[in-house]
Amino acid sequence: MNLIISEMTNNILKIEPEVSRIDASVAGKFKELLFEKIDNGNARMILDLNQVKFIDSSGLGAIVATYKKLKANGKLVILTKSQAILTMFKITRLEKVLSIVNSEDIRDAMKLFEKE
Amino acid sequence: MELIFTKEINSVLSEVSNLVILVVQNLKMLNINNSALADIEIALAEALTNIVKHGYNYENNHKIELALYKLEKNIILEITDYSDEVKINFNKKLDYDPKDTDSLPEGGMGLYLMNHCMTSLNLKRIDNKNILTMIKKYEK
Repeated sequence: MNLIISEMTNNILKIEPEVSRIDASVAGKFKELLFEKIDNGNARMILDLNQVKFIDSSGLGAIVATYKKLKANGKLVILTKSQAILTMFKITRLEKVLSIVNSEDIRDAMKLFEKE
Repeated sequence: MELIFTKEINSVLSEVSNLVILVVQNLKMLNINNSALADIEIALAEALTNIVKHGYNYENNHKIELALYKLEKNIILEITDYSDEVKINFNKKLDYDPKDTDSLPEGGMGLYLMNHCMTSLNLKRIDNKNILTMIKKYEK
């Protein structure tokens, strides 16, 4: 199994983890794959976490690192309706910083790029 | 105090994942509310991961033991490891300025999450063992 699958639409790369848990056992590889996408020239990314049921601080760290790497020249939008994931962003106050769309519909995340 | 189960794993992150899943499955059978269950899942994952990363420095040939108990409306998790003695400040704040995006934390959130999610945390050193007791009070 691949850790992520990706799909390009309107010059926006949608990335979906193929695992239901992003914890310390996969977070390092997860971050490496996200960085690889950025290094390959992808600057507009949607991370769809709707199939992810659990994320720990290592998984959050991978997302924060990706956000930092993209923020100067690109944009990262997180798409999730999962209460467990939204709660983690809230507890850590990362919801104040990251672009998080509470939805399962990819079109809702794409709207954030239309405003640019 | 009712013992729900005990389990021993090696200090390997994939075994940590599997143990957390097993605990959650067991707790679901006790009809614990979803919020408390989610909090226990987070705290347990962080505690076990800390032991693998910082206690055993990713060496995979060490043991971690978990005992899960229920006492009235409290879930008690007792985690034992055999790494060197550690001093831990469970009251560590997650201190960063959200406006300063360069300061956003990529690590160091584990203790804060454990403290936030559990009702109480206690770490003892007994017979060359670190014994972490985490308690979560819950409502059905």
